[in-house]
Amino acid sequence: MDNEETNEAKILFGLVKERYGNRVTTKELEEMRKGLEAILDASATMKIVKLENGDEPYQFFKPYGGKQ
Amino acid sequence: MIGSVYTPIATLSKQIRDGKVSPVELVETFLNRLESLGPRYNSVVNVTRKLALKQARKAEKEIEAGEYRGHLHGVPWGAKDLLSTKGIPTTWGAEPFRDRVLNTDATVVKKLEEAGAVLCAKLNMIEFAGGMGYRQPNASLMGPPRNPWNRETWAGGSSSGSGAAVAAGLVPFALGSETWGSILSPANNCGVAGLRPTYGRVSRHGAMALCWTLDKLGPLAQTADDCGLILESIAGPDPEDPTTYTEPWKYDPRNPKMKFSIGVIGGVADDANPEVKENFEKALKTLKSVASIGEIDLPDLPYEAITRTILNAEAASAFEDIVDSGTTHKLTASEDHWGPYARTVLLATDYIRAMRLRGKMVKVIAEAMDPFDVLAAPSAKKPASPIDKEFRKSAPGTTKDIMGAVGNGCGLPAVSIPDGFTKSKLPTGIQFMGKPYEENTILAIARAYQKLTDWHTHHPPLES
Repeated sequence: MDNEETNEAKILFGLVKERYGNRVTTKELEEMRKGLEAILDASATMKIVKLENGDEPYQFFKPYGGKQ
Repeated sequence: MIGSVYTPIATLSKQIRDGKVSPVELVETFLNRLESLGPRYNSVVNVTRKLALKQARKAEKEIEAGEYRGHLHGVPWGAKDLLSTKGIPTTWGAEPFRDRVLNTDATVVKKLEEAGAVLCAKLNMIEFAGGMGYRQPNASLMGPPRNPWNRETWAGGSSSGSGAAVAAGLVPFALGSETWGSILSPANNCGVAGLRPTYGRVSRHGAMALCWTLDKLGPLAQTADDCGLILESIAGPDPEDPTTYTEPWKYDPRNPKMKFSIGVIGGVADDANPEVKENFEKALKTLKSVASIGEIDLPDLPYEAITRTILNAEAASAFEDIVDSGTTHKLTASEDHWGPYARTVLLATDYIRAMRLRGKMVKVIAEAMDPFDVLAAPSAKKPASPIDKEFRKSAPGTTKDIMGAVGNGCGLPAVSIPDGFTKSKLPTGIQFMGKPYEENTILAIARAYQKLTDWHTHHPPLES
């Protein structure tokens, strides 16, 4: 995302602006854009790693109540 | 008669048990220090004098009657102000919550009360434990948390008051919390011991949630041994926190007969401040008499991106109502007003991808760490930064902290202890990070290092 903002970034930043744009200054908005870039960079970095269908989230769900 | 305010807990508790130190006198000493010196460091939110004296009188009576409860009986302590305390404000370090009282005691508060410890203060912290993206120290309702070693430098964060209060001898120990760095950073900057337990070792019930799958509570104290004694009292299963480990934890203060095996990630200190790096290398040399030291290369995974994405996603949800209501615009740090906005558009698929990668991460790290008892690294890449300067120039997630990303992402325990000073008399620290549930191992190595050195016996001059 170095110089050229991707479409995805534009769309997501549009959503940030829609939600909170009226609360911040232009300078703050620019900082928020950089914050979003860092988030999307992390997302892009994670996508380099191949995941298989069976690679489950490392968070466990357990039904509540009843007899085990 | 009260001795040094820096007396380690094992010694202090023996004095209390033997009737040589009165819990009431002891508590009065620390209450006076909290009230008179606390404001110098912006380290205290509320001194709990009335409650403390009540608890101290009770402890004194019980001990006199032969009903000694254990190491923490009659010992004063301070709570990071994200731990709920019935009848006492719990501010989360945030100005909008200055007077807010939550009608419950956190499980750790209850456990310490049961152990006979005496709550003397709610301690200052970075607002929302840094969960709004702060970049400089002036991010707390009590003002920038100052470092007792040099008031013009930062105490570290987000458990800032917990580190500063222990370093300045305002309390014998404190509890802090860590999501990513919040116990190790103040331990490093303030030159005290800080223990981040394994995720799930200590109940989070009644503590502010920043990130449900990363938050841990742990002690800051004078020594590694102190941390073990404290952890024993706060660890254990809690039906109120389903993530707690099912077994209680017992501190083992015995020294193992075998040599330790320490791994150091290749190049882990290369980008550290030169004095930090030098002290770390000296510490490793010292440790060679009790440990073998080998280099370790971690498999290539985007550790920082994984842990940061989890943190961003969970924090966005944990504080959704606070952010949407505009409450953040009343916070102290201007960057915290808008800091949480961008992450609200983080995609669910990205969070889930991070959680799937976390499954890979825990396995490759377990395998890589297998030949070693612990991994060692500098606790922080630099000593305390100036109180009025940004310590982070850019958005969170853009700086490298592999130990923090791996340790917190995998829920691993770590202890930070001082390993020297810079030329400008600021402490530096070394961390030992262990395998899950191996707190006794990391504490044994830290104790061994503290036996070989005297950094933990240095204390800041009060005039600083």
